Amino acid sequence: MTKSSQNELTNKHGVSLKTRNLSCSRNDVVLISGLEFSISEGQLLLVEGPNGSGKTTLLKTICGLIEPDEGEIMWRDHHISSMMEEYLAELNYVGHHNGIKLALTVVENLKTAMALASVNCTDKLDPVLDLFGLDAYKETSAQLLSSGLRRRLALARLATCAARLWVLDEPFTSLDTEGRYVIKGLFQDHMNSGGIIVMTSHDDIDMDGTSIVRIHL
Amino acid sequence: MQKTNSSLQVYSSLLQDYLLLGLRNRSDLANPMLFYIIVITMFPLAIGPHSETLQQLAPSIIWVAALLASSLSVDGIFRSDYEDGSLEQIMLSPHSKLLLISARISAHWLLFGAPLILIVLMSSMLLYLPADAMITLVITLLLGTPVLSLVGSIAAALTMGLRSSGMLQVLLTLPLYMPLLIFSVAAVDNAMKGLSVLGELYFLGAILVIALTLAPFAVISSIRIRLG
Repeated sequence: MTKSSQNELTNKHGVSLKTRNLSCSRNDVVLISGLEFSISEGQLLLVEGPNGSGKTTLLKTICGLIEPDEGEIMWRDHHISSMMEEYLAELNYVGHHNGIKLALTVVENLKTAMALASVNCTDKLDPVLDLFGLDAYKETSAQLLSSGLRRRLALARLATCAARLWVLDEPFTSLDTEGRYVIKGLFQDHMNSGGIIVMTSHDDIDMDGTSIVRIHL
Repeated sequence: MQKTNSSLQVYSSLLQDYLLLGLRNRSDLANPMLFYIIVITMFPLAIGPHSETLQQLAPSIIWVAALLASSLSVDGIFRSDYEDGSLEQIMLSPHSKLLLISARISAHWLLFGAPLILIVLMSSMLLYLPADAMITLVITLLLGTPVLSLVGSIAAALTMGLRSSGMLQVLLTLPLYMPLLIFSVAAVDNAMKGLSVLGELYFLGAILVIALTLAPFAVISSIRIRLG
């Protein structure tokens, strides 16, 4: 799909993420069977379920890291495999692992994340570092940060590049009260600007005026 | 203000990061080199200071030690990227995966292959390698060490996250290195005897071209299998 046809798509179709009859398995164990959901701009999909129920598998499948056994994942009403490059340009994923290099500094890690993203990255890191309380650790190696600060650094990627779809695996892990407050504010801003969030969390998500769709695995 | 990254910018940015990471983790960098030096030093001690025997065996000893040192170094190509989640970020980048993975492999060659060539040159005196054969040895290393990084990265990608991945990598890579060993040693042997080395060098060049064109695809497929 060319850039111009993608722009046409963006104009013609609203932003939505849908699955049709999605089935996934890990190590020959069927975790998800016949899953269907549809979310559109400004909505948050909260995937709930006990440990081992397939939440992370579902998130990775939505990202395209795992092939589903059956079914389809649709972004802007198109199968993601038919527009993978464009889909990934609109996706930001923060997984169970932080995806940061411990031997690099905070700023170096964010610059790497910005380099990997395709478009729409800010060239001003200071406001992002300030928002996430990392301004005092700019030149600090990530291995010297606490696990909460490392998580903040991982989540700071969300603010550096303007992706439409955020896929987040337990984003609140290791965060303190202030960190959770900052992240929830970021979620709110993202959804108000027409973004979509798909996330797992064992914490109660309570955000005023937010449209939350829940699925239980 | 927002900006867009070109693929080459991403390649150079990643390459710079990997080189920085390599230089900050100096022990990972130094261990294969020390291993190579120790292996090379053992032969004069074991065989004795018989210059003719050592000279005759020098090409084989140098190349076998280089292959073993390479097997040690490839273990770390993707391990930390897999464990800290940065490999997922690479696979979810909209940029060409071939380019991103090539940055990783290039960094490995610059941090392992290039310094190894210098160390081989310095250590070859221990084995009485004649000066005439030195240029041929350097050419075989220039053609061969990138193949070590390329083939090694396939095994590293296939075994990342597995228990005993180091041993599996050695078992996977060493048989694949055999054509490289045969042609490299034959070239240096011929150079020592004053014979033509072009045939062997052409074969090494062909092996490098095959590895350059096919290995990145194999690495990406292996990573997809392991992440999935």
